[in-house]
Amino acid sequence: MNRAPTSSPRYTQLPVRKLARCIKFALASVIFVSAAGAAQYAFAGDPRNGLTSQNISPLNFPSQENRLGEPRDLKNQDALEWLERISRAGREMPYTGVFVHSTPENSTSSRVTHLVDKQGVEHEKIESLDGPLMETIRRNEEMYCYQPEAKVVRIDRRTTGRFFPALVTGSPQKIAENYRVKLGPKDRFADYDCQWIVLEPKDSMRYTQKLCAELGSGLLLRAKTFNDRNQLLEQFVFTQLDLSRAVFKQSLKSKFEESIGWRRDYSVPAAAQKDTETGWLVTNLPAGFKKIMEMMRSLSGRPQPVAHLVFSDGVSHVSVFAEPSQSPARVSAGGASDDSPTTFAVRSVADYQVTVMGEVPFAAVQAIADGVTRRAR
Amino acid sequence: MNEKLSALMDGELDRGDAIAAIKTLGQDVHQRGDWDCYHLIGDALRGDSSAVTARRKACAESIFAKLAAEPTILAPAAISASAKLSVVAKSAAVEKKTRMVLAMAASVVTVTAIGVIALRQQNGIVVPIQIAEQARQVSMPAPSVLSATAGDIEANKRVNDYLVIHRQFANASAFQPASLKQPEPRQAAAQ
Repeated sequence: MNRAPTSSPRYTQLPVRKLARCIKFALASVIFVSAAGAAQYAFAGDPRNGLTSQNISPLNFPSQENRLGEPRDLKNQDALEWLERISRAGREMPYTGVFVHSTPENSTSSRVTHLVDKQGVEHEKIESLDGPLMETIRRNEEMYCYQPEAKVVRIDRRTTGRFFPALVTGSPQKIAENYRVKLGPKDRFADYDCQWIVLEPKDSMRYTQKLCAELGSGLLLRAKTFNDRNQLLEQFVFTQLDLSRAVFKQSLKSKFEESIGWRRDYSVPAAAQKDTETGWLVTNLPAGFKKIMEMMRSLSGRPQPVAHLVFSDGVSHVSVFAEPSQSPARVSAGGASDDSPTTFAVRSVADYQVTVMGEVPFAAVQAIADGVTRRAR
Repeated sequence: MNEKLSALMDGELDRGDAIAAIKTLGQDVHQRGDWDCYHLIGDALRGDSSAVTARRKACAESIFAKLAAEPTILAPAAISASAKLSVVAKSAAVEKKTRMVLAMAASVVTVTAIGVIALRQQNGIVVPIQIAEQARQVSMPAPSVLSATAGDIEANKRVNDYLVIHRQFANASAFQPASLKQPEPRQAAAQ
């Protein structure tokens, strides 16, 4: 038996029998701890407890979770941490990469470059790589969309667009109130390892989001949206990404910025009018949806401005548009299909036509449309 | 030629003429395309979703050809219109293209879409979800293209415009491959 040359007698004299007992104890504690872990799974809290519920029984997992393996519920604190990392990485990290966006209809690739400068201004450039040339430049909330073939610059505010990889925009607490946050397996995209996080809706008012967040930073490498029948509606994935190289401000300018003679199309009001009172109100909003913006927009070809209200649950956005209707509104229609991520509902309220549209199930746009009312003067 | 076809559709030909017309239809690819097209438009206007299912690619292609020279609505709403179609046409893989093409076929879509736009799938079954008053009007016997009133077209155009705003050009090209090629698409559509 080897003895450590200088250590105290207590350790050096440890007899074989004692050592064996020690090992037994250690083994027993491992077994005990894992049993406790299993018990935690089996006797999980009621999912309706919302934030305080940490786990639900594995029996409740939807069977269709096959391709991602069996995601398990995250402890609330871990869930919030992941959401926070995903949201912060999308907002603050410098990155440049190429991603593919696809719907069942089509898929296109874009190059995205992102940087927060020393003054704290967020810059983003999105260049379309397929189809018509198009560049979108964003500085904080101002957006300039250059369409060289039409010689048009469209100027807008960032409101509802889904800009990958910054898809998670709301507060983690609020998101966790309406989605069960689960941990899936690890994966790898564009040469970076990532962790799948599944946002599973607690009601029928939103879709399932599966997000793969880069292990080091939390930046989304892939995002998929599924409906309640587990059909893929929309997805984004980085096919090329570089997180190691510095991003320079120069690369965030549009190459069309200096072009002259282009038509400028302002569909949005000046910044000061961002939170205009439009005279519209939505009552009985589905859980978790909050108004994030309200404004009057002028659309080319429209004699009168259109009221636009934007609601979000932190992941999905819904727009409510209202405009005076010249012809009696005989169309009270709505639409959605299994494979389109955007649904809408149309309704008339007094002499106005109200259209509700969003990346949410039809039930949600319908519920919101039902709650649209004129604000009492 | 097309008058014959139209008469055949309406059951106005006598037996001999009908047989001849059917024979021609069997041999002429273009006529078959037209035939599908007329039916698609008719079915869509009647809100007859099950019939829309059967229509094929040829129709979309001919619409596309006719539209090559026409102004196009900045068209992402076509995702709704075309996706509606996709619901009913899911089985055939070729339909993928049809939908895209229809998405670009703005002015024709404004007519055909009125009926189609209101389809959605519930538990795998296609159901028209237009609310009753509209549904009843559209399913009146023998509707003509005129039943797509200015109000309908206006409403459809609005949905198009809203979709552009809502998506904020983000990944817009995935939704509207052709529209951006048109100069000032919105104004063109408004005229």
